[in-house]
Amino acid sequence: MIQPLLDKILAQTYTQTDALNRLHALKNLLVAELFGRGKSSDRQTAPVSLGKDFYKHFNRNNVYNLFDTLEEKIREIKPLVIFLPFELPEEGMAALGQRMRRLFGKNFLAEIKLDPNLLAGAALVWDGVYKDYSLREKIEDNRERIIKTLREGMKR
Amino acid sequence: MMDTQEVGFVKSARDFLVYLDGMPTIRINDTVQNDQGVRGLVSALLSDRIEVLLLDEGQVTPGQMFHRLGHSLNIPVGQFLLGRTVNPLGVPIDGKGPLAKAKADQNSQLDKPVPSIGSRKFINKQLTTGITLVDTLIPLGCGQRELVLGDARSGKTDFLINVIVNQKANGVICVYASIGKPVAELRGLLDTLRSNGALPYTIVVAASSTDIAPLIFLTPQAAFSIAEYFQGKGRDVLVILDDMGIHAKIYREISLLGGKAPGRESYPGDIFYQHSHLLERAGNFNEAAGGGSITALPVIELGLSDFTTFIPTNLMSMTDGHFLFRSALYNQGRRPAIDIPLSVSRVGQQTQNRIQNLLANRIKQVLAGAAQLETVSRFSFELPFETQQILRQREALEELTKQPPNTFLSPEIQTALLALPFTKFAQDKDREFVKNAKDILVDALSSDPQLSKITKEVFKLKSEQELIDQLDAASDKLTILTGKISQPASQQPSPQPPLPPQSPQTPLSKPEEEK
Repeated sequence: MIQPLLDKILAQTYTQTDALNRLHALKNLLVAELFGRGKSSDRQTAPVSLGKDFYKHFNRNNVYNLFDTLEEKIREIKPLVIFLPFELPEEGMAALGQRMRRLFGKNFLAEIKLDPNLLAGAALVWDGVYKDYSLREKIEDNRERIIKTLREGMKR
Repeated sequence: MMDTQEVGFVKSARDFLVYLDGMPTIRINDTVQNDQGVRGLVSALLSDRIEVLLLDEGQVTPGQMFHRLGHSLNIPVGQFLLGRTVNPLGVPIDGKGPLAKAKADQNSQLDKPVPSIGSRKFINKQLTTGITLVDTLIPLGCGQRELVLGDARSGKTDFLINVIVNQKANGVICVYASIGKPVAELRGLLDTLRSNGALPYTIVVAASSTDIAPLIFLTPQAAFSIAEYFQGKGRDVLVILDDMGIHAKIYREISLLGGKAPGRESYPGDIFYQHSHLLERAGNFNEAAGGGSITALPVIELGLSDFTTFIPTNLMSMTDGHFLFRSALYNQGRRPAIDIPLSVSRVGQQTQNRIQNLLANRIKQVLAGAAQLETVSRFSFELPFETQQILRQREALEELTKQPPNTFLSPEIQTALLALPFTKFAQDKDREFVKNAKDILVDALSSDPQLSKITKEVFKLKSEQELIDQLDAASDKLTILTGKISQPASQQPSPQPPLPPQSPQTPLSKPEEEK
């Protein structure tokens, strides 16, 4: 029962932060409905992509347990941390996410972090290992050559 | 070339304790650093996260990235440290500029494995402190660990500074670890060492009370790492850890914050190990291990004179003896204020010269005997001659073992001086005379031709009685030298007044019989 729910939540969510935020919003919505005064006005703005069947799985007895389990599952997924020198727009994130899911699996998650010092390119962290593919790293590697070339250019 | 390194992200942060994930091959005692330059020390590896103690002040927030530095925590060591004050990370804090590191100098790990039995040798050389009471009665050996414990304001720090200052002539390098002390106290210590010319052979490793807790915790380890460098060069090193009570409290704070289960007095279960594996780095080492020795003087301040609490008893069990300082003795003017009957040196006697040993045993017998007789003497008007003699000897010895701060007496002069109370010269001399004559006697024993000859050859004698006999033969000279010191009439031991003549007992007059 958990996996189908998880699949639905992660269907259009590509980062771990977004997945957790989405889960917490859903939890607040359902708790308010189940323990509050009937269907809330938020239901109208609830994500329709989840489908009407999604909410049938939840009742007063299992709502907290289910959400705790779902949160645990999401946290167990190791995200690929991507450092970018710019903020990725939503469409770009979606395109990147879909590409990653095709390559690495349907519930693959990323984590996007902003680091303008990279200048261009990206740096990746996976399973505690950091790999730098940025322009900054390239410049550092070729530092001596660049300085030498600039000096020669200035002499001319 | 692509830069590849291990990184971890902050999952949670609590004051100086941070938990990271990632870094799959990290080990305990490895160091990490974030982009703001805040360094940390890996202290525990849990199933799903890494516990890191921060070593620098800085704001750490969840999600921040730490990268692995690739080495364990170390400190630069070399001759350039002499005369400098550094923190446990080797950063100079004395305002004299950066350390003058040479290329050949090295970095030493802070937490090193303890040297094995095979690298040690028998402790047979005395560490001369220049303090009569210590060198004669509670001697220290090079490589010994002797606990210094006592009440607040009982003169422990003055004593330690005295010991450091007196190492000038011995060629011993001193490393003083100031653990969590106030900055003002550290400043005072440095000024005292500088004014006494002790800084050139002293290194101060200090973390003040305002520093972050993990830094304070690492102070004694840094001190030992520096000491081991000089010991490896064949030098004798004296390490003073002031004080281990604060160290234990800091470790308790770190452990409780990290969620470790509290044990006795809320200290963590491994507090004994933390101190014992530190003190085991002291010792006397053979040539294969570099020669040299590390003598450790850990200090602990007692609360309400109670030395039966957890940490003091732990430290007593892992050291080779202890000096017990009493504030009551300090207030009476005794310097150093060491309680001799309750202090012990388990290793020092094997380093002493035979004469010193025999004399020390004799002195201890007198002190023990006087302690027993003291109670009786308060209630008796007339004491036997032998009892008076013992009490007078005890008084003389107490005066002779008092020593002003920052004074040095060589072992030869100490031995000759402490043999004086057993001579005929001192038989009828009281405490006040000894107090006034002490400086003259010390001067005479070192410079007078007849007396200095005895002093110079004192360690060639076969027994302490020989020394006493030689001093007896020179008693005329002693009398002449101290002739100007006359005991005031009111303070002269007055002769016992004669008993009144006994009158025949007259019976009580009977009441007149009633007629």
